[in-house]
Amino acid sequence: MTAYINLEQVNFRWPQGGQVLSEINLSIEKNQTIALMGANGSGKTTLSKLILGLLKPTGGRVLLAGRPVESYSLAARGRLLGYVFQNPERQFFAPDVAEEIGFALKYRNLSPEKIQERVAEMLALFELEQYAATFPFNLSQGEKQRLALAAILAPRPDFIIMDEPFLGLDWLRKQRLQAILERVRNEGVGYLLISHDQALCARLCSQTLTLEGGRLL
Amino acid sequence: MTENHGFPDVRTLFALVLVITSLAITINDPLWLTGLLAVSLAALLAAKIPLSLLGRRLRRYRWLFLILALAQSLSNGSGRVFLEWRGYVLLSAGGLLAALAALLRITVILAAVLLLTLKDYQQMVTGLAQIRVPYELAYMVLLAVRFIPVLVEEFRNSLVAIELRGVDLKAIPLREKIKVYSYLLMPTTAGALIRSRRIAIAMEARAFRAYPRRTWLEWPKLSALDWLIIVLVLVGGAGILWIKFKGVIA
Ligand SMILES: Nc1ncnc2c1ncn2[C@@H]1O[C@H](COP(=O)(O)OP(=O)(O)OP(=O)(O)O)[C@@H](O)[C@H]1O
Ligand SMILES: [Mg+2]
Repeated sequence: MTAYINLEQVNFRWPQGGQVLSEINLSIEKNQTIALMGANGSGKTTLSKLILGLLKPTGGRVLLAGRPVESYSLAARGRLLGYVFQNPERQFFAPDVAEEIGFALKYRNLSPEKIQERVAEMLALFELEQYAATFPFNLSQGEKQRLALAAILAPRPDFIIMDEPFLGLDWLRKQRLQAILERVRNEGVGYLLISHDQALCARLCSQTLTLEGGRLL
Repeated sequence: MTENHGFPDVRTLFALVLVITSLAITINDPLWLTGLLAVSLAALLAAKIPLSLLGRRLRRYRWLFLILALAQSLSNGSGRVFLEWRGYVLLSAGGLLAALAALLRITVILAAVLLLTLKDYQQMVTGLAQIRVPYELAYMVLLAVRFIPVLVEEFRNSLVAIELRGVDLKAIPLREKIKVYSYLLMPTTAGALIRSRRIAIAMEARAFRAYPRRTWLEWPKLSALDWLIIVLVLVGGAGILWIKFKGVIA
């Protein structure tokens, strides 16, 4: 049985740029919690986009649940992996916060009551209740970050990739997000956490990987 | 970008684009619109702009096309009726013609605007300043033009973001699809507004328009051929508009 996420000899370079990633081999099980660290520009975001097939490797291959990532539709990949963008603004599209959280649920055979319940739960969990009717673009940086997480966690994905989810959160919210991730982890959901915070990574993940010079250490 | 400083001059292109788009907007007759399309395609070919570029833009806007054509067809129930439902005319000869005109109109406008890709940003600002558009305004207009590709890019990013939430846009019903596309305009416009505000502040912080006039590095002259085309286009355009308002063309 292959792992949930499998990278085999993956290389990546930008069309007119240098090599970003060389010969990356990585396999992650569904319930594993992995931290990914590395300097700015070391290729962390690039690696996460390769896993989702948003970028194509220049060499090697990426498998999701045993099949090449490009054999899935974007929607199917999204159901296998929740992805929180490094710039959360990038992923908002709904006219208000509640709709942003509930949107994906509508297409997953959930009853309207169930959807409302989930949305309320997420609003409470991420302390966004008073913003339920706010236009997502008008939220503060930290609120945007929380909304992005709420929207991704709402459909209960099996595995989550988060690109610097702690960015812009104040001390208290960092503690709370940490508690949320610990809970997620206890429910058997795995994640790949991209972060610059060594202590956090050690606390929240069973294994820490570091990108340096295009290779995984 | 293109290093084209000679013929055609930016002002010639402006005249062409201005006349073609205003005619496209005012004329409703599919036959005349087809003629206009032929003229713009000929201009693209003469300028050596590949028609595949136009094809790509058309494909990008296909949803807009469909919605416009549908709206046109539904709101016009004249002529022979082909399809009716509880007394509402759904499809009629007049509706079909209106939809056809709408499609031709957008194609003509997209083709005309493509002509501007011959010149880069700076050349266009200079061109606008030469026809006495205040340069603040010239910059605003061109910022808007320059942002269109960025907007399209953003629109695509949002599409990816939506699908990554597990929503298969191909599989959802049309009504929902239209809703999703209207949602997508939101981040796109919001993003654009936020950015242009930032740029305006940044420009003022760097003392943009601190002096009432500015110096331009190039101030090219119009060639005889440019003059000829501008005069022909303006006179021809005005002539067509005149007969249009006389009621000869729909
Ligand atoms: N669209 C692009 N075109 C060309 N090069 C790019 C593009 N996007 C990123 N890069 C380059 O690829 C390299 C890796 O970028 P990436 O965003 O993966 O870094 P990162 O590890 O996520 O950095 P950070 O900690 O700043 O988020 C960088 O050198 C960057 O300049
Ligand atoms: Mg990054």
